Amino acid sequence: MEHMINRKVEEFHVSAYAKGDFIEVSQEDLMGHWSVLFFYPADFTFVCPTELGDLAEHYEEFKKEGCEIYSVSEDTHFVHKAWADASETIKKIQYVMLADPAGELARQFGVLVEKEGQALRGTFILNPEGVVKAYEIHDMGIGRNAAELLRKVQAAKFVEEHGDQVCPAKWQPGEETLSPSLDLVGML
Amino acid sequence: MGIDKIASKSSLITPELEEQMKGVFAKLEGEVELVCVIDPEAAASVEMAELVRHISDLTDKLSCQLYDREEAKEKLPEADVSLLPATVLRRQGKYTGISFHGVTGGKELNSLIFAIYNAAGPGQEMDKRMKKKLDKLTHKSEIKIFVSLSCHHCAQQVITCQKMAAECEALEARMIDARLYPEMVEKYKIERIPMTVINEKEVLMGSKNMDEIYQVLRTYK
Repeated sequence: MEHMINRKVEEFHVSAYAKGDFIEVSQEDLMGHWSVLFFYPADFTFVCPTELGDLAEHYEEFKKEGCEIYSVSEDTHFVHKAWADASETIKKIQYVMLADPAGELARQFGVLVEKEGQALRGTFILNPEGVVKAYEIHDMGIGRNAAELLRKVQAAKFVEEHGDQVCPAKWQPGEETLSPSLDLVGML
Repeated sequence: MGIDKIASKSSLITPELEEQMKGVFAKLEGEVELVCVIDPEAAASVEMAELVRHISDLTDKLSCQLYDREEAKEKLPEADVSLLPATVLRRQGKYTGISFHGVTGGKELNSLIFAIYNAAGPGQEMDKRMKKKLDKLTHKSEIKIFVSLSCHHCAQQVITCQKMAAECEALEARMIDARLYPEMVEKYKIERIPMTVINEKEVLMGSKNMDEIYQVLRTYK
């Protein structure tokens, strides 16, 4: 199976529910800022509101990073609204909830379980050019952690800005001291 | 193990490295003292002490002194003895502003050799305009450079900062091998290196040139 890293988001047009309104969203809306596409199986389920609520609580921190959140399920935007009306957790969500009943987005990102018509718990971090820089896909029942997602967004941004100047820190307790090498003294 | 039992040979220094270092040390103008504060019971401390002793024996321009934590508190006020091993470079009995926390193995051997070369002279050439700028700095600034021994960018950043410290009395540049001090990784949230922390406030990521570092230092009056 081919991976998604460095793949650019393809054209899509979906309806969405955002802070009480119905709006239209396309791939163009994902350009110019960092984005997270946060797929989940379905509205009115148990793990989903926990995850989406966790994400809502961290939303301001994502905004500070210049990152927009888009949750995605295979429900319609009308069902999103009904869920928000019925659930205190969903009501407080400030980010955009995309409706993907035709499976357009879920199929594009490889998370659609066709026979169930639901999406796996896939999370995709896209750069301002709409290119996937990190992602994870969980099976239906395995929840995700918004704080960890925020760390990944920050890391992705950092690498994009400083990637050629830094090394990832690998703190391995007990790692032996490396044999020395004198490869800079030639600069004297 | 007592300090007096520390070997004068380091397994990290091969005959080829010895020859390379002798080539650099033949150029040294002044004398530099390497003062190493160690915990004689800790492996990293013993490793660094052996390295420092070995290197010091390669030229009469270098001397070496080993202290334990208690002695250092009394005789070496400039050393931060909370992070051992700590090695400071002194010239004519005076702190150069250059110190190392950890073992200068891997790429960081380059940093140590450059630090000696810059402290003893002749040192790396420096742009005259930058030297003038550094001469005007009067605020005492501390530069911490967190590194990993396998990181090429880290050694370059340490060399740059320590060269600035060698040229400017107001500056202190400390290399810190973050792997050895998990409390530092936690405190400064270090995920990538080199990470440079100036006066506990400003953070620079990656290898920067002198002017970029100076632009931060100049904000302190």
